Amino acid sequence: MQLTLPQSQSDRLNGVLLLLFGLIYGPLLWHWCDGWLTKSISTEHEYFSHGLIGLPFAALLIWERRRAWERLPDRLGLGRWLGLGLLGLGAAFYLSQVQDFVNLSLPLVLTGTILWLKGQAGFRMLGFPQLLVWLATPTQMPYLVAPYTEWLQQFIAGTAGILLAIVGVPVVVEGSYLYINDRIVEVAPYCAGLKMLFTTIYVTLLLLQWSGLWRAPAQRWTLLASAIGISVVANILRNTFLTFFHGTGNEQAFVWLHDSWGGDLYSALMLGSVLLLMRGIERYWPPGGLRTNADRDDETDPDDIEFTET
Amino acid sequence: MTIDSPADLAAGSGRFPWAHSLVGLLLLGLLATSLPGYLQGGRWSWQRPPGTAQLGTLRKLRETGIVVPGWQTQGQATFKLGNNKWSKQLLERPSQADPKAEPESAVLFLRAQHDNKTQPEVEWADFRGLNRWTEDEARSVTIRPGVTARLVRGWTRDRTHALLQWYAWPQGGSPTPIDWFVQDRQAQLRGDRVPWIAVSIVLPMEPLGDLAKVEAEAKALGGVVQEAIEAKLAAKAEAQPKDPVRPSPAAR
Repeated sequence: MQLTLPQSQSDRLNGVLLLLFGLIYGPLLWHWCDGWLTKSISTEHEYFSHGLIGLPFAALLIWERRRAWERLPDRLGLGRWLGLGLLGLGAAFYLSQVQDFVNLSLPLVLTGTILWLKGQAGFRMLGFPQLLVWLATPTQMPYLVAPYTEWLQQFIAGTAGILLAIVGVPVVVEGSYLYINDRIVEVAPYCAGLKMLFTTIYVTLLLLQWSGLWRAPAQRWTLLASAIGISVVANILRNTFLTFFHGTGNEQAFVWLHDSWGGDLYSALMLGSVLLLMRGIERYWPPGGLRTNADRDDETDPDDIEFTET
Repeated sequence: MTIDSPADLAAGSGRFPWAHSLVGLLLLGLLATSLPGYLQGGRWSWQRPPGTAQLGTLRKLRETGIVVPGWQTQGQATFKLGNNKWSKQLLERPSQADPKAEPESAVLFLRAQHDNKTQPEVEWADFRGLNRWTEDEARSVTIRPGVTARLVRGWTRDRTHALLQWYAWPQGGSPTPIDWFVQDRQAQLRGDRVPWIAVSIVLPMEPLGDLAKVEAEAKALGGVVQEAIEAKLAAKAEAQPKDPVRPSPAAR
């Protein structure tokens, strides 16, 4: 009754699937990465540029868990039929050849395949890498939420206005507009810092997984909440600087921070501070059970050892 | 290996060699779809959305405005708001109630889509920023079945206006970008697009008066404008049948 395939045959099957997946989605992945690197992708899709680190990391995590994956039982359950459904949906999305749907078909086919091959157990084992792929898939979400971020724009404009007033710069705030020396600065929807916020959360997820803090709820939520706070404050300060530069006629500095590498440097400094904070937590507030680096990925480590033995 | 349930027994608790094959077959099917792209050396159809047939009409409309039946255009200008061009035109007609009285007037603002990629987004917030007024009493009104708009009162210390706003497209309209988005993506599945024009109509009203008093007038004018836009977009589509070729690089 047992139809266990020899290891090598199973490897071959997985290899073929991987090859097909690569042939189908390789051009799409290339289009994303090229677009993120050269900023030739649409403004909405640029929001997902953290995929440049997230997607390779997800691939690495899946690769590391491949032996444990092989040993998962092949049970026929609800999850597998759900997987088949997702596969069908992903295929339909791909066949539509409409960009938004084709993009979504990648994570759909991935999750569908995982569920179909190994059911819920497989889904859970590869849960984190799947999350990384889903959150890096360019969608129209930034476009769809833009009309609803006005409160955030107004909050940023208001706070930047107060900061400028404190340092003695004459400024008038009206809604999401700042008027300074007869010049106008608008905190536009795409300046509301959602991209930075989204990237910060994504990078924090990566850091949590990498450090093993992911398994310590108190530390995990503290770091996530702090990262969100840092991102919001950093964005308010950024908008304050931009208003100050524009209002005082310092266009060079404005362009540097707004469009040039100044903005990237600013983001890097901000993400660096999240990293420092995480190091601080690891050092001065280690998780109770000491379940950090040493024994991260409970499921995979024993397998890795076994793999090196065979 | 333990058997937990009859389902496991039925499934044999073993491997399904055909599970991989099924995914493989499905992926092969998808690969067949991407073959033309490979044969053309990396020209993928998902990279190029269908073209908007009425793009020429839309671009011209920003410079000329639109003819509104029953109303006379007293002046038209094009101005920039943020990065976008808007057309502003002053409309007038003799008073319906008393021909000797002051003529009725309205100001029609249009922001038409200017390339294949622009999507309606935050036009109403931009417009509020332009006027530097306070908006309140917002409500949703139905211009005609399938075409809804937002009606608001915009006021400053010395003037009050009624404002009617919606995104107009052929056979429909809504003040919410998401409604257009759904229509457009459905059209893309058919290889088509939904062109759009953001419409703002400004009507005079009593200082901090009751919006309900101008609602009927606003809806009537809104209906005429929607029809004029639809006629204009339809006429162009007939005069120049939709190009089967995907849009030029310049439109991307």
